[in-house]
Amino acid sequence: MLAHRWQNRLLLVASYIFYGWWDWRFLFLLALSTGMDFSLGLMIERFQKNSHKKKCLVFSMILNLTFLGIFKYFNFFAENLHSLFSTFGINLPIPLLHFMLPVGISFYTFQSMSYIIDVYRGHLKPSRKLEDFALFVSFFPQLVAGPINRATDLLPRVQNPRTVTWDGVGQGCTLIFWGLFKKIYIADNCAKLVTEAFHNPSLHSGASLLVTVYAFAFQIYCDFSGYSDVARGLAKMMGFELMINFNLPYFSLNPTEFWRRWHISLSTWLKDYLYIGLGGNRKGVFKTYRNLFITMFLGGIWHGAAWNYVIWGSYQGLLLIVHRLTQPWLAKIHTPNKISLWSWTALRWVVTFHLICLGWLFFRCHSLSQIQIFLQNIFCNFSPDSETRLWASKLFSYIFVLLAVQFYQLAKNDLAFYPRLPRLIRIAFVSLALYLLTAYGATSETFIYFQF
Amino acid sequence: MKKFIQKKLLPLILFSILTLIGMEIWARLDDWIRCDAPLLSEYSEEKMLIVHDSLGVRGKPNGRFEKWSLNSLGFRGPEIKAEKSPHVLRIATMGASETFGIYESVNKEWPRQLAENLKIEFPNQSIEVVNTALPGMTLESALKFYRNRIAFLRPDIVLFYVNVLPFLDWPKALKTKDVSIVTKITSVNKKSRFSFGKPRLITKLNQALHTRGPKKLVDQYEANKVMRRYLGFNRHGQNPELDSSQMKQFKALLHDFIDTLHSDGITLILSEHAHALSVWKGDTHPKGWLNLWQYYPAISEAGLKGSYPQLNSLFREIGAQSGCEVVHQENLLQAPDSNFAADGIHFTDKGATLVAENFLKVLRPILMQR
Repeated sequence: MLAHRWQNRLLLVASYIFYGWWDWRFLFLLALSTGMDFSLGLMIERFQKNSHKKKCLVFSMILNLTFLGIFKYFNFFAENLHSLFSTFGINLPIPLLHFMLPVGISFYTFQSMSYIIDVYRGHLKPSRKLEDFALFVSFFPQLVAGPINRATDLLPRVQNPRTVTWDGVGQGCTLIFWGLFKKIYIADNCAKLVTEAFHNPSLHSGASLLVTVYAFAFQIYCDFSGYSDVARGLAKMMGFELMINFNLPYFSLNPTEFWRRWHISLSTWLKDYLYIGLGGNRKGVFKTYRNLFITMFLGGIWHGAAWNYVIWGSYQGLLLIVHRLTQPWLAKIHTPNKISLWSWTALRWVVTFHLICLGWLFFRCHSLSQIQIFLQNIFCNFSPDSETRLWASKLFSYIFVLLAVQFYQLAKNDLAFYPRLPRLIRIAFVSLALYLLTAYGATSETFIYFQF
Repeated sequence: MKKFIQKKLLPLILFSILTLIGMEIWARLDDWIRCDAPLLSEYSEEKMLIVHDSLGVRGKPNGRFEKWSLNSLGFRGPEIKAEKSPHVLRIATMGASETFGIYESVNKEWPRQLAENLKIEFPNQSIEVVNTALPGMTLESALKFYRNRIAFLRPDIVLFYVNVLPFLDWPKALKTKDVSIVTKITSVNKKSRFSFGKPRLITKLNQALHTRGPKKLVDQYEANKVMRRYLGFNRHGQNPELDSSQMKQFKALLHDFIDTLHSDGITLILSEHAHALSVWKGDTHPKGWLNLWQYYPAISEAGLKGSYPQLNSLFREIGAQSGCEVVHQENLLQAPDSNFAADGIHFTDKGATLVAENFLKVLRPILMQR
């Protein structure tokens, strides 16, 4: 086994090769962002005056957000500004930037920002070794699609010697296998249904469209959580522990709970660095709602520069506000016996799941007219037909293993379900998942979250 | 080391073996659930895709075998409603394995590609393309099949791509017995020594390799398989040329078919049979000859090459007489070194694209008039 220092160096080189494989030119951007934040972290510690520390923090935020703004949002704002002026007959010659979005920029920028903020807040000592910090930013399993790890969690694991154990390797393999299953079997197969329906939604009945909205809910979940599992598994095999990014989100009973279970690394990031930074719930009711809305709105825009993400983020913000508003009233609902408790729980689950699905519709649609067709067909032309039955049965065949596993996880209140299974069930589970992957795994689609 | 073998390696090997057995069990359960396949014996595509009832042969509703799947009406392609909506223009494609789709990837058979092209070219029209083809359908069986299985769909247009090979082979059988629809998807399968059939997992892995494996590896695997088949094949030396009685029978059948469809108010479009035989020299395309001889063992190379032009010219002649459009595509696949035909007469994805485009050329003016 290599010495700890050499392990880090090897991982750093591997991470840079991994990122450069996609487009080597963006390595400079990654290195520049890393170098700047590393230096600013050290400067924050060195300065005695708070005002100087703050200047470093602000400079880092401006720098990181400028990179993000140029690569991710410039064209969106330029195009919209251009069309806004065009409506008044003014031709505003704004040049567009013709380069690709660097993959994973939103993830590593946020990770880097969390480091600087934590150093500024005094939660973390800055890294004194550039290679440690560079590895923290570019650690390849989580570089392109998260989880967005906190410096307070990941940096010490980079800095301190790690132990690689057979158990860790085994657990890592299990996570990778489960992640690949979710991605290749569930997400990519659901993607086929979704693509067909979203290609021309007016050709399908409302019931069929509803099935494909469910399919998209599972596609995006399995696509993203599958990647997170693979990332966590890879890290685990090397002795790292990345944070859990998803915790049975579709079992949530209200939107607030959903955001505690969905993309946890981003939602906690937004809560800790944005919502609390804005004042959280300490400055009165109105400002709490305002902060919630701003946080979710910006969370929506974090996903991409497009109107559907703006709508989706705003919708999520409104959902959280409405839930907060109705919470006192909901808490008063009395469930005297088990049946009424179960019914009430089931109702809350159904409503929450459908509200989340409505959000996914906004997320997936590329135009308002497409959203309109979906909603119109679902509410005014529901009529299930043979296509609905076929799609529903296909969807069920894609997700039944996931559902079984997640019900088990929920019942046992334990995400690491696999080692606790009886040996025979374990073999049955692995052979079923391997069989489904072999026989029905779809040809791979790009991970949805790579574009963010 | 001993500890490692005992504690880690042996359990891993045991686990892998049990997992493989588990996968085989799941494969069988899956075939049983999805295709109603027997759990413990061999099953064939004919059992899974074809139904024989009082009206003859038809596709099995929701039948599924390997990559082929039929809808609830027993036709290949997406689900359709039997009853046609008034604003829908329904196009039925009739034919044999070339139209049903054998070598093409799923949804790349020419009727499906045509449907996609129509969707793009006529986005405001509701056009349904129903692929009613069944492997082995002949001109003789086509009329009966139309009456019993297609007429109720009330198609507005029928695209007819008929297989002419049965006229060259098994002529006696055609005259005496209605064996017109014979499934010909089968590859040569040797009987397994095991009573419960060969491991299904191998078939599934094979399919996975074909659909998702690295292309070079897949091609090499295919070439080896074909050569093995070729070397073990018993070829017949007959050379039946088309005689006048066969030509007469062919004409009569085609006239009957055209008249019936016209009397139902259907626009019929005929098609020449495309092939890539003339670019073959000797055994330079062993895979192609092998596949053809597998189904039509009495046909010689010369007989095959000579008869296609004869039958295609009959199509043109009769089409002109009865006012049917004829899609000219006899030479469509014959570009040297092209990759359009998988075995001389069946299409690859690229070949099917050409055929779909050719049909679209003839359909375009008809649809624009409507």
